[in-house]
Amino acid sequence: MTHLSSEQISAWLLGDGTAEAQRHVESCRQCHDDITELRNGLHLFRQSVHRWAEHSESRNLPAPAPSSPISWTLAAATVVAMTLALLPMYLNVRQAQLEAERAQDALLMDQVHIRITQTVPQSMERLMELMSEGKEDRQ
Amino acid sequence: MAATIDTPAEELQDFDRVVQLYRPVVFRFILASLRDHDDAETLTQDCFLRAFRHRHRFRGDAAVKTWLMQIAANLVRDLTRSRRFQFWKRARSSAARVQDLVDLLSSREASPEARTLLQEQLHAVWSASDRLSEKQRAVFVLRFGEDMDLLEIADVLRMKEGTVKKHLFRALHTVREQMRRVS
Repeated sequence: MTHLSSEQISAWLLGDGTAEAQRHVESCRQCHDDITELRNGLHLFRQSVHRWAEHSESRNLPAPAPSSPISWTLAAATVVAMTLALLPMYLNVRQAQLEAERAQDALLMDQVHIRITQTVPQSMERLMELMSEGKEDRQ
Repeated sequence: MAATIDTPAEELQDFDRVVQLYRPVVFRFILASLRDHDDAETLTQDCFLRAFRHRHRFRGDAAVKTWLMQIAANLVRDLTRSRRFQFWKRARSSAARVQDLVDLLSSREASPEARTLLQEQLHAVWSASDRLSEKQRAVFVLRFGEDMDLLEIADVLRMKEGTVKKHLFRALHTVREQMRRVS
């Protein structure tokens, strides 16, 4: 018995089998098994392609959103409310700091003013005082 | 009220729907052709990006699916011909991939013997498809991965139907030989 050629088997699988090939497959166990095995392999190929793609696609699904839009709105409102509540406290503290800085600046400016209006160097101040005391004594 | 059937050109107007509808088939074809998840992801994105940019050139004389698959087939061809892909293809081991496929296809209750048999069959069919030429593989994947008929494949790959058949016969011969060797 002449078995089906490779081309005849391919034609059979593609739906182009002749009536003669049909009769042969029905009567020949070897060709029948050959075709069945190949058909199973092709089915397995298709199945594996689809499962692999599905599996790969499922890995790429975007992660669920961390929270709903309502929660985001609530969080934003809370931040605004806390900012408004804490703002006066911050402004009071800042005002006090500014006033203290201004007072220190004024004190420093006074000291500088005193220094630059002196007629003699600091080291000679005591001598000038003694000289003026002596002058007063003589008078 | 009877539902209206969109022409291909009209179908392309709603591009979000086109992506939603055809992304799985495009991705599957590219994945089966390249056997690399990352490359398949990138090329699928490129395919839809290219389609979107050139959508005004689509005349509607083919189905949208056919047009998208033409773009995908061109992208696969360009990548597989590049030197970078050839290098990585050689360096890549297929053993791990087949094992992954066995895990995906077999149930937890499957016996070790059943898993071994499945692994052998998968190894045979996938290693056979590895041996196919670029055109044979494209034809093989479209026919036996996507169940496309010969005329549709001819449209996608811009071949004559007889040429598609010739490539399929050769591909089937290779797969059959490989399966016989394994069994």
